[in-house]
Amino acid sequence: MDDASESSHAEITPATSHSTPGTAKHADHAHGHHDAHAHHEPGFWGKYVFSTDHKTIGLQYLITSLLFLLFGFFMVLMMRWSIAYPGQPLTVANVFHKVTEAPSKFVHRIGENVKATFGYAHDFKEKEGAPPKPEEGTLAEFLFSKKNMPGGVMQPSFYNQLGAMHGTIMVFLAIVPLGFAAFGNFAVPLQIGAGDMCFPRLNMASYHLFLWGGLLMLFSFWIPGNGGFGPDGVTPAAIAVEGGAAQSGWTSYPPLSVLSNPPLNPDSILSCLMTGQSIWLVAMVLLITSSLLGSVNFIATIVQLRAPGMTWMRMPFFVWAQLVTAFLLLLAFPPLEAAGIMQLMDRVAHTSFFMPDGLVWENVPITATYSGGGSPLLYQHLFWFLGHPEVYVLILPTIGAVTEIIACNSRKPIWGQNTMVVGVWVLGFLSFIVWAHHMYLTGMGTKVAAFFQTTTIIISIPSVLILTAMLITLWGASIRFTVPMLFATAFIPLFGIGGLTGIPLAFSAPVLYLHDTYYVIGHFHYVVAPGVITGAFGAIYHWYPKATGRKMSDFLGHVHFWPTILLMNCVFMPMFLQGMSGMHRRGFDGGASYSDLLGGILYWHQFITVSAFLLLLAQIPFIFNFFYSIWFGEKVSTNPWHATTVEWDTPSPPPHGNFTKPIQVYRGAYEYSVPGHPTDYFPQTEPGYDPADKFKGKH
Amino acid sequence: MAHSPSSHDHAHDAGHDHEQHELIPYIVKPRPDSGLYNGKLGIWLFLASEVMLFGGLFSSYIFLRLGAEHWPYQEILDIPLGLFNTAVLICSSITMVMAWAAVKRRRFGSFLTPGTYQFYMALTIGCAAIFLGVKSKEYNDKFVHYGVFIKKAAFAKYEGALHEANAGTKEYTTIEAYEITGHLHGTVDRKKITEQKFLEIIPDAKKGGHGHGGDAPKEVTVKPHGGGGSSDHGTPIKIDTEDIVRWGNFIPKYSTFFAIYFTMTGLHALHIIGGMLVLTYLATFGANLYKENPEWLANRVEVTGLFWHFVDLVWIFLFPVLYLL
Repeated sequence: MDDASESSHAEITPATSHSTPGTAKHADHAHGHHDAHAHHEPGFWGKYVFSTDHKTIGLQYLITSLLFLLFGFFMVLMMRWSIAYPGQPLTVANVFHKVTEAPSKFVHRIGENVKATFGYAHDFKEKEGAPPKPEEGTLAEFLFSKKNMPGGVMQPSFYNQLGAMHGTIMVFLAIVPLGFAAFGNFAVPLQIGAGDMCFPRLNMASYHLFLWGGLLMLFSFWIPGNGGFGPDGVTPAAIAVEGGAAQSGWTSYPPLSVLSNPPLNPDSILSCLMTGQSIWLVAMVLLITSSLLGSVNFIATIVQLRAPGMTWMRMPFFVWAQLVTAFLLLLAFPPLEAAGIMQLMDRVAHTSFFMPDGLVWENVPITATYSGGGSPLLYQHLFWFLGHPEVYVLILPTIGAVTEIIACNSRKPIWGQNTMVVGVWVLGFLSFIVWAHHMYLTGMGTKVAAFFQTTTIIISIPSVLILTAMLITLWGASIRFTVPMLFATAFIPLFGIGGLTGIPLAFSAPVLYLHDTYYVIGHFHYVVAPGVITGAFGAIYHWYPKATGRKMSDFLGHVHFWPTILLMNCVFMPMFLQGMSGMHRRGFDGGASYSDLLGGILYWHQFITVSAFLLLLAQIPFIFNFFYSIWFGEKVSTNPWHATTVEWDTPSPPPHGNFTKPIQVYRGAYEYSVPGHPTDYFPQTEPGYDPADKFKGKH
Repeated sequence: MAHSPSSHDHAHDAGHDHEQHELIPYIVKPRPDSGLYNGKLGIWLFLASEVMLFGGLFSSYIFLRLGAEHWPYQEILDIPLGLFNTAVLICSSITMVMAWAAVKRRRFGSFLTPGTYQFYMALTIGCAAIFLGVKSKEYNDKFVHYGVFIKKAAFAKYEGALHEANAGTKEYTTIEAYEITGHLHGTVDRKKITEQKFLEIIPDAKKGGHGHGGDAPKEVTVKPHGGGGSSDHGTPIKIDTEDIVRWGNFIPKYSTFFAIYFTMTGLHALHIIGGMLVLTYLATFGANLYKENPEWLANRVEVTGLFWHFVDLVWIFLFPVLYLL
């Protein structure tokens, strides 16, 4: 009976040595109760592939999402080539040629601009020879088939596939898993002093659903078409089927998305499923299920598994940001799942959820196949009901991570930490009622638009509040410009540009002009690429020592940071200029057919494209650093940054079960430079008084 | 006894699935400040997400119905069968609670001992099976029921025959057609009908004595009854395919009404099937946990029960929304 009471006691108070995470494996004092069940070391598959350890799963997410990030980047580089140099073959030699001649062309351009400004004779015409002709047997043709890139020249339909997949991969397979799943899985249980996530096997299932959803998405590039011929290869087919991946943009608006990527045989359910767009939908359902499992797990972990003393307001801001993100994922994704199911029904069972009356497709009324009576607008509502909270799903984990880095490296408590917590909740709530600002041009009516304009402007208040708190934290601090801090400080202005350029898009009148222009592209890429990815790089440099026990090279970090920041701005800043001149966002040739109207700004395509290729080069130091430092990085202590939060109070890398001693939390997350304390950081787990108590008269 | 709980009810928390249990507290006992054990919080969060999923579909239902010219629920759905299914599901929710209570009271029993855990689990699974059986019968009734959209220009040809058969017709201004529903006479094969260039339909009789397209804006036809339906025995009306906009049986693509009806009830049926799988596991292999830690099994049953009640609740919304309103 002794055993029984002890065990049930441990259930309630995890602070006792008995149920403390990791005790059984690492503590020297042996308890018969635990030793009887000592677990075995898992093999390769159990350790690296089917692991239930949150740290391993976090790293799996990290590697996978970084790979998807690279894939998405390669796709957009190919698209950028087609935009800047339409009709020219994509070969290594041509890329090299364009990149090397860019500086002199740019100088020439500026010179002519100066001449024009002061009224001198000028000549904007590019002094270049005939554009290169399509070549036989280029690498691009070999990699992406003759159908997609004959002679190395990109075809419009392939451009559309890349466009849809670039957006989908970057949003759902790269940034969300990177910010939410990778950093969250790795850091959240460590930061709240938990032994693992609440549901470890669910966590594993979540990763595998994500992985297979992503692979399925990529697989859709290889879906065969019929080349315009029937099964015998001679007689013309009823419908010419191109095959390949989804072509309707990452938003997949119907009715285009229902009718594009036609199946080989419309009467066969299997054939309808084996089309790019249907595979996209099925993969999305897998990804949504994955994020659902992940978000349930995160919320349950944060509510249930906080260590003793880790009260709500002592939680690091990163954990708060993850909690709000998890709620957004939990509640915003299911409507898209509903929309995905309905669109799948439209494609496979030929229902008319999103097919309106009277639609004519390629000069044929659709009434023979579709009953009509559906609503394309319904899809847009369901999509953006997800889509807007999704923006905050992208940004909040990074904001949380950047806050950690800023507090640690400015050696000050976060200014207005409680305000930030309130702000992030308000942000999360408001993000559910702003979605239709993506739809001003659908003719919803002025009253509806007025509502969404108001909420959209209100949501800028908590965003600005959070960013201001970060800025004021820097005020008067003796900042350590470590590599993570460089990225964190760069995040603030870059994200600021992204946010501020969004304000004109909150109003329906400017959107009349700016909708679907490069201005919108520039705006949201500033939020996601220079914003989120910069912050994510900072987080990788910040937590790398915890995951590996070694630091990434500072020198390579600088070589990575400076060109990256410069080139990101070179890529995205000119887009505002092009957009405000009326440049439309979807042309595969970058608007070459409008060159009479847009001649003055089309030049910037080449500037952006060359910058983007150079941006790829700038990532090589990071990739090298990432792998090099695993084995050859400088070995560091368990707390190399002298940070206060709980994850730094355990060996690096943390053992299975995370902690080698019982965790008790005594104070808030950011007690830096506390007067009277011997060091300038006062860890949450170090016994002693809580500096916050002095305001309560206890000390 | 095979399933008697050990004398130390709480002693062997770590026995089953040991490793997970030592890292993660509050699997069996609730955390004092939240008042919940992990699984219960998890299932409530999951159900919140499910509410949003079905919420999205219910919103779509409203959207589609507002845009539809006709919403033919009354003459097509079988209200008594739907009501019966509602009762069956409510019963299954009750037996689900009884199963949980039986574990709590440590009455494990067997599938055939009334008042015990396995008995109530068997009843719950049985109710679910009855529900699915009735649902598939309803589905099948739809699959053999046909509708034809006759071009307005050609409608005069058939007006007399339809009037004689007392057939209900509906006007569709968007596609300029009249719809008649009924059962096909002769072949139902689309290829054959295209070849023979006509189809024969025994139209559903109309309720009341008004003429079509007259003063009554909404005409209501009588649904064929499962047993003595009269529509199978009426006179078939021959309609040339060249006069038809489209025709087909009542499958999802027939109209937006059937699209949302089949999607929502189909998704609900998938939830029932998923629930049945979990219930079957808990009643058989999963029940071995009772020997080691009956309280943990009780938690699993409770969590499954919460999901089951939710699925029940979805039907309680679906029934009036689809059948009655």
